[in-house]
Amino acid sequence: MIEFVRSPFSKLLLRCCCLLVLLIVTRAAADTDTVRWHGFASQGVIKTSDNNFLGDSEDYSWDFTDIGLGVSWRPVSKLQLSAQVVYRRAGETSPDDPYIDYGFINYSIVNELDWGIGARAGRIKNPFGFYNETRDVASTRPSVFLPQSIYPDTLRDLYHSSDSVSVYGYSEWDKWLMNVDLVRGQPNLNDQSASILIPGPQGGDIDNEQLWLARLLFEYDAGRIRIGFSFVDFSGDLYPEQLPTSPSMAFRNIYSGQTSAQMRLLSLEYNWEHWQFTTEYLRNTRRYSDVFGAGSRLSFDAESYYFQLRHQITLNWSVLGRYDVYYPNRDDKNGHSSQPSFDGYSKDLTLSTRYDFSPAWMVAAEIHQIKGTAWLTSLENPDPRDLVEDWNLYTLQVSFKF
Amino acid sequence: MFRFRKTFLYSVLLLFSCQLASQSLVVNSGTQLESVTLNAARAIFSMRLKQWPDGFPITVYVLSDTSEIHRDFTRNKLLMFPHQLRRSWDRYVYSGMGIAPIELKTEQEMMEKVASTPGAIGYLSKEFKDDRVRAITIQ
Repeated sequence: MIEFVRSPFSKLLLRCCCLLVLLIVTRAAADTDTVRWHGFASQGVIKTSDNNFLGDSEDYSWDFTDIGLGVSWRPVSKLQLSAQVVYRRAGETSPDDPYIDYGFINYSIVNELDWGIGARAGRIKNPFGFYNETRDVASTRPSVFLPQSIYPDTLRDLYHSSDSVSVYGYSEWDKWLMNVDLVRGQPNLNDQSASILIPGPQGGDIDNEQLWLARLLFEYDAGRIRIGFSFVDFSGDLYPEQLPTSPSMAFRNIYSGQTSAQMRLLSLEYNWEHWQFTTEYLRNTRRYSDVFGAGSRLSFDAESYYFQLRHQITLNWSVLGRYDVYYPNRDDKNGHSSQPSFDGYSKDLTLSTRYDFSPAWMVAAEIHQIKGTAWLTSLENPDPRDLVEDWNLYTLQVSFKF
Repeated sequence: MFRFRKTFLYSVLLLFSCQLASQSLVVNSGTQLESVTLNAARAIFSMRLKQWPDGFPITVYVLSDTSEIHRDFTRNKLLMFPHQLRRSWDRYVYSGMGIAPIELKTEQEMMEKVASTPGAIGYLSKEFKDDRVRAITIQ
């Protein structure tokens, strides 16, 4: 299985994805009953008091754009082919070209009322927590930015999708519905992901990257209560660029080696008619072998959680409050070994409001009061001496979908 | 006279509220079912269940999220909040895992579509006389 999913297979998968899109598009012209199009576009502006987040945000960043166009074709009720192309601008953290966001074939083997099972293959959105699969569509997010401790926008390209095979199923008993997703494949990394994964300022390559993912989602009374457990296991080989050693070097040199990450995420939600309470708790254990010197083994245990309360004031207007906490190393919550120390945590208090003009158009605005810089990336904040501990983030976003 | 007017007003209100609560679940008459369970109705309208027990594909028709008929049907018959349905559809559509129901503008259109599409399901708030459409109950 492991060999099966490695490089040659995933290249084949990618080609299949492209072929799939072509197939659907040509088919779409002929058959309008079984083909459905969808799309979305959003543009935001970000202003921070200090530090950079998605572009040069200290001086108003407009580098916060999502445009997507998708199509799905269901020739028979059990078979669906779906693909989506996305163009995304997110400061330094994402490449600026349109790319195939997903493209897969989905076969529903059993689709009974009380149980079902299916399989899919291709490039898929990773089922992780409550929000990952639709995170690029602004109107599906509860706020302009998802809680950065668990859904970091700077690391989005690492976790959002994978070239995978997946089986899924559901089972219903009385008022409970259980959904299961299992995914095995290769995450979609790019140059930016490599420089985020490799500790230290030098870039490099990642090879043999693999992903295991499982999600269990329980829903009571058609989603009044939702409880989720997500597990992710990522591993890869790091090949950092070697820098010439010099005594004045401010950081430790790093070497080729293995890295892995194990994530355990617990998700809870309760829905009333006009209120919604959501909380998620994540533990992420990252391990490095040989990376900090031959024979060295290092591991860091990160902790993230948030509490979120949303209130629907009228049909079109809602407000949200959230407290979101992230510790990249939970054994060092005060950041003694971080440079600067406040890079060892991020505590984000968010107030957000959203107005839906129509089912298609909405506008949202929010204020973040943040202590610490842990979820900022050095790609956008290269000099740690320029970081500021207490900072604010303001954002306004207009979005459209069909 | 005043009392009469008051009684009259109440009766009108009563009639009006009866009418609101009387949306019926309707299917194309080719579908051989007299009733569905609440769980089945929810699974169909949230787009998880794609086919009838005999394997024939289900085509789901709805009115817009802001329509009173849609909102009342969702609340009173499916015993769900309209935003729960919307969230389920958005998840299916934007992740590529499924599709959303077909949204129609008027009840008249709903009547015609359910009548002319084998395997169709929808809802109506008015009385209707059409052999091609049948009201079924939710148990």
